[in-house]
Amino acid sequence: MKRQTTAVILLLIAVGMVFSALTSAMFVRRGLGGDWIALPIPALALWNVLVLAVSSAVLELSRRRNSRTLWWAATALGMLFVGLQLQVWRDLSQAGFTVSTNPSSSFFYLLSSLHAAHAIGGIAALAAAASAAPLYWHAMSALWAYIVLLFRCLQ
Amino acid sequence: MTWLRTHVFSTDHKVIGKQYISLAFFSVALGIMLSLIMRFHLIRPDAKIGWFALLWPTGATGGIMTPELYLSLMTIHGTLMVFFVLTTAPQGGFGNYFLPLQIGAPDMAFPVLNMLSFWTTFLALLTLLAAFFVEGGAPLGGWTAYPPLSALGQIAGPGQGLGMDCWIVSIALFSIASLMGAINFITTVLDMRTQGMDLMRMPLTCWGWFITAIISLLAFGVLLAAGLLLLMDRNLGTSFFLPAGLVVSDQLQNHSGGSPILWQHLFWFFGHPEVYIAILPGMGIVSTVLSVFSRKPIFGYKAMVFAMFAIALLGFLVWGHHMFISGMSPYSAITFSVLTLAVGVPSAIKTFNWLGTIWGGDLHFTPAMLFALGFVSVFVSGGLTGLFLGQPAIDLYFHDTYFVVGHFHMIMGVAAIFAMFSAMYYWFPKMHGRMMNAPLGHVHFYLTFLGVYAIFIPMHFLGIMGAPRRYSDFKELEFLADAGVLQKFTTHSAYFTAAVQLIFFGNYFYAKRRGPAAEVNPWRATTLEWQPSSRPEVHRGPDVYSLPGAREDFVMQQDKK
Repeated sequence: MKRQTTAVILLLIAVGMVFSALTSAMFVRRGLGGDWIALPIPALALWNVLVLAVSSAVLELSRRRNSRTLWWAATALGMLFVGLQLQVWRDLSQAGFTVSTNPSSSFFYLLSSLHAAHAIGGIAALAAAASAAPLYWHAMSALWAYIVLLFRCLQ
Repeated sequence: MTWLRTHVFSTDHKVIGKQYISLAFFSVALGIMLSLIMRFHLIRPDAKIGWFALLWPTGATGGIMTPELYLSLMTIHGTLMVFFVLTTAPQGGFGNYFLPLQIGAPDMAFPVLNMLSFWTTFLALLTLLAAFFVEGGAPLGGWTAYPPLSALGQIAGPGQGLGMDCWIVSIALFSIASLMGAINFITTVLDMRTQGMDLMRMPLTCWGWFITAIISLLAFGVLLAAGLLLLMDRNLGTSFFLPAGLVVSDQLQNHSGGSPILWQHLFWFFGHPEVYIAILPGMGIVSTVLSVFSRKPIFGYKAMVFAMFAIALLGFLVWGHHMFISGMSPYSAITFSVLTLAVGVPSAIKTFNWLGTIWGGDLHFTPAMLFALGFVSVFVSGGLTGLFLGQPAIDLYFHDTYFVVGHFHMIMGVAAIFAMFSAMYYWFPKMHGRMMNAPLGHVHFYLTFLGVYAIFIPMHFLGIMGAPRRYSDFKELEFLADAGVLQKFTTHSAYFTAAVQLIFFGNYFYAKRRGPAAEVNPWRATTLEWQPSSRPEVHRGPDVYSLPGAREDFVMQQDKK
């Protein structure tokens, strides 16, 4: 339905504003003083970019072939992503980086958990087979790639 | 169950609109009461009031108000008025009720989401008011909640503990509700217009709501992000807004390297557009009302639409003018200043077109029309002082004085409230099927008009004398010894104006039950909400619609006496 697509585009603009605000806050905070420590991003976080990319590709394939199985496969990959994110946080805290260790880790925990919350919403939309869910899901894949790229650039 | 579905958890945009208006009524009544208590305290700071002690056993022990209690009342007053009155009633209230009717849509695009927006707003209001009842009471930081004060917790003062957390959670909920509302409004305008209702045929009211929704969509996410960072600083030990080496109550705070100015940037990137969220729906309403009661089409319709877009765009580029004294580079200050003064251009276009609309018209001075004219008056008076504050050199002096308080109450508070009064008198027959009493409406207008000028003009003088805002007591400031009479005048004007509002509330609640029955289109307006047809089509330009087969069909300018 047309208005669902409109609404999802608007929702993504609003989500985009939240993450833009946090990105600019991060750049400002990093420029404030010498206390910024580059965050060693767990390798799993990078692999997760791939998990979401595959999930999005499978979802797109399911739309073209009209396949319910592929749709569920994409949803399952989404759930796998959230599970792996839990491991990412565990790895990070075992490496000594908790939420209050350094502004870099504070921002990482905030951005990744906000993204995870939005991804869980996307998984719910996929499970409900909402017509505009794929658009939202692709944006979530792109958003995670963006977050990882952002922290790589600030190394 | 059916009763609950039709009156409480309804998805009908008309019911939700009325619910938003009721929420705003409650909030404005409470907000006015808080301001009266503050005004009373300002002229009699040493008064012992028994019921203060009853209401606030710790904040007013023995009935004498502490400065902290004054600040907490001020915080809740500002938060209620800005968020729960100026943001809810014009958009969520009147917008919800009349946007679908005016563009010929059966309902909002997502009725369930609409219901959810309202109940989230309601939850946000309860969370805010809960701050009064938690340990320490309501927060002290004002509606802008600047850190370090807001980021430190209980050690920074009563109300900065759980009360401050309540405030942040309330504002976060409010942001989410506003985002849901914005998505609904924009989708409705884009996808739900009836046949023939081009965008450039929409009444200016719809343009007001549409552009306001766009601003909300872009602004509230930033406030939400800032609120999350503040919550983390308070509860998870992060240091976004808190610098190193901060000593509060002789205790070194365990934070490092953050900056309170970062909050100011994030907050005002939302905060300035928020001002336009409050005023743009009012501009739309005033345009329509002036046109209907001048029996003339809107003068410069296209210019009005583009001026609103220009105001919205500029609104996102001027947040720095709230921070001239934050130590920003003079080059940034000049940039923000020039952009700020540029807001005067579209504002002047709008004012010019309002005057053009009534020029040579067949004026009908109904209460709605009077409040619309009053809006133009206070909009100009309040806007002109913005030209003072928009200049860094003058703002250095005026910042944090009563001049600012007078300015924003005039342009944002009173102007938006006048637009809401206009809307209420104008649409009452449509909303309740009855007529409000017009002579009482006239009395209400003239006394309110005098009253608001009597309250807020002296505040400008106080500001010029150097009276700082947010002080609960001026006794120690010798240079303000002569200002006492102005403070007294302001306080008594506030009592008077608040009392006058009882005329409105009396008129409103009486007319709702006992008022004379209204005709279908008592003002002979041309917009679709007054047409009885359920699924209209549009056949002419903006504000001169016609319906095939309608019993009566009005075109502006056809009923000159």
